[in-house]
Amino acid sequence: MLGILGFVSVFVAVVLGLLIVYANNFLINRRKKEFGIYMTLGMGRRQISKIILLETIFVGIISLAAGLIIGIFASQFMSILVAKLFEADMSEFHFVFSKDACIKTCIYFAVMYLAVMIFNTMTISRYKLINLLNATKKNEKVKMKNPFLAVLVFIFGCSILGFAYWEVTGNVNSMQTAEKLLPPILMGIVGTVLIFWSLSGFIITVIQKMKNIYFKDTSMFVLRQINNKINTMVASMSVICLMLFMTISILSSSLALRNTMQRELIEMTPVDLNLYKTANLPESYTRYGIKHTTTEAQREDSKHPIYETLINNELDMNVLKDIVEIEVYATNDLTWENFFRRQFL
Amino acid sequence: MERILEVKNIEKYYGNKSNLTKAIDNISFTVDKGEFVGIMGASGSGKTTLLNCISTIDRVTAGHIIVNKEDITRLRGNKLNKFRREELGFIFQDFNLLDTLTCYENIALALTIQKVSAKEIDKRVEQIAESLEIKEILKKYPYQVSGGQKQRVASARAIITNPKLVLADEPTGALDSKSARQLLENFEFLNKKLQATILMVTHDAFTASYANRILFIKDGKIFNELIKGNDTRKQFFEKIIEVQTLLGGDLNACF
Ligand SMILES: Nc1ncnc2c1ncn2[C@@H]1O[C@H](COP(=O)(O)OP(=O)(O)OP(=O)(O)O)[C@@H](O)[C@H]1O
Ligand SMILES: [Mg+2]
Repeated sequence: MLGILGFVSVFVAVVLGLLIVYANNFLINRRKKEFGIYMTLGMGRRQISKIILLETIFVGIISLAAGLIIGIFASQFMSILVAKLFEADMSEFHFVFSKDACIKTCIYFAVMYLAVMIFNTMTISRYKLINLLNATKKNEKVKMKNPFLAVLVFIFGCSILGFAYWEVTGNVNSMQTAEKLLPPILMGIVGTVLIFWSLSGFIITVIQKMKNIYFKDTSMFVLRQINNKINTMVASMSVICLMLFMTISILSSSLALRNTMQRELIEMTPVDLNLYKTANLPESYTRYGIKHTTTEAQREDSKHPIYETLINNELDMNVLKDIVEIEVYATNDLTWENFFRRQFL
Repeated sequence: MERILEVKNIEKYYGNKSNLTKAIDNISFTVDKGEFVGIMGASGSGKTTLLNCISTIDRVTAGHIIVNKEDITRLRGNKLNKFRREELGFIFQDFNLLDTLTCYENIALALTIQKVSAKEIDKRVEQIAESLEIKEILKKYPYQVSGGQKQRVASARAIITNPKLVLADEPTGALDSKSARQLLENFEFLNKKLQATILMVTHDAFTASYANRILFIKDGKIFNELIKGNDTRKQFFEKIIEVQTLLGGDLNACF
């Protein structure tokens, strides 16, 4: 269970990291012209990189601090919510600060911002000055995809995603354990990415096939606009859909998990009080690899049934009702082989 | 006369093999220190491309450009930055002002990059704003001022560093005749008093008549050259109109 939570947190970090790198890329693209102007006025690439680096660190530290503070308080709220959900005892509740989570957050954050910095430095050193200056005027390049392949991939992606969504919503009650959540999540990721990948090629093909509506009215300009920004749209829509899918699947499956746990609780603990003791204790015995020796009193007591022990300890037996006594016999010599003979081996 | 700029057989191609545009097709010329050169030509003839190559914003496909005995097509790294910072002033056809900075900050930016002290910057910005009559708009942002005012702010940014070589792409394109005259007088001042060399692209014969010499470009090649010599500005203006008619481009200028 903890393992799966760790996996999910890494996954969320990766998705958010990609989102940050992407958003940063978007911002840098919008600022290319600014950097171009700095360069025509004689500022060096290294100095520009330094400016961006300082800006990124500054923004990074502020957002990390804000995120941590909000996160610490929001996590209290979340744990109250979860405790309520699983009907845990709230009287013992106190403020928790998870050092591990804090360190993890800082590490994820550092990795993300390192990626962003490397990315920015690369952007600045890679582009020619003329392209920096004209960057905002240029349209995004779109690669044409094989339309047949795109349609196939689209259908495939839709069916995977559809199945994954059904798994985490309609069929969620079969999600008995957290491990079962993994396949639908992976399917959801693959499906979403495939759909958007094929969709971009698909839309462009369709737009270009529709030359007759192309020149009729303003829809042509709208379509052109869409066409130009298709890459940006595909990436941001994929990320948004992925996050949405994660939220839906985690929320619905945690509710299902809670139901299962409560049902199991009732099934596994049909009585209020459950006492057991070992009868006829020997002088010494080994259980689970640990050697026990027994005192004379223990051996004597083990010859009596449980309720006699309770009465001997001056417990009022009237507080208990519907007492059921079950005896279980065991022998050290009893093995699979001598019980079933060789027929099942 | 000291030779400040030498353009040797430069070519600039755009596109790929199947769709090639020869924006500059084997252009050579030289400019002496202190000259005021106009470049004229029809739209799309390659004027902006030529200026971009000289200003190291773009790279030539072939040929060499020598500024102050240094081949700037070979310049890299810090030397290139120093060249752009200290020798060059560039006025773009579309201004290229930063919308996030006020006009004052836009002009000051050129000096900030040179690490001039704040007090000195203040003095020089005030001075140049006075002579270009943009003092009232210094606190405004570029999107709050008119096209002509933007052009003057861009010009102020380019010439505030007293560059040795000023490259101006249509600096009077958005100006009325009064503001154009002010800017051109500033150029003249820069040219005569500070010995700056100016290379100015223009469509306008009146603006061009402020230059000492005019290069006419057609389809990426130099088509004609006019030297002012001892003519008055009016005589020069009439000659320019003649060549323009010959070029077949700007017939409207006759009427
Ligand atoms: N980035 C580019 N890619 C492809 N072709 C280009 C590019 N930039 C310019 N050209 C082409 O090169 C030629 C010269 O363009 P340039 O911008 O130098 O013209 P110009 O003389 O400045 O025109 P104008 O007076 O309209 O500003 C034009 O035919 C233009 O289409
Ligand atoms: Mg031009």
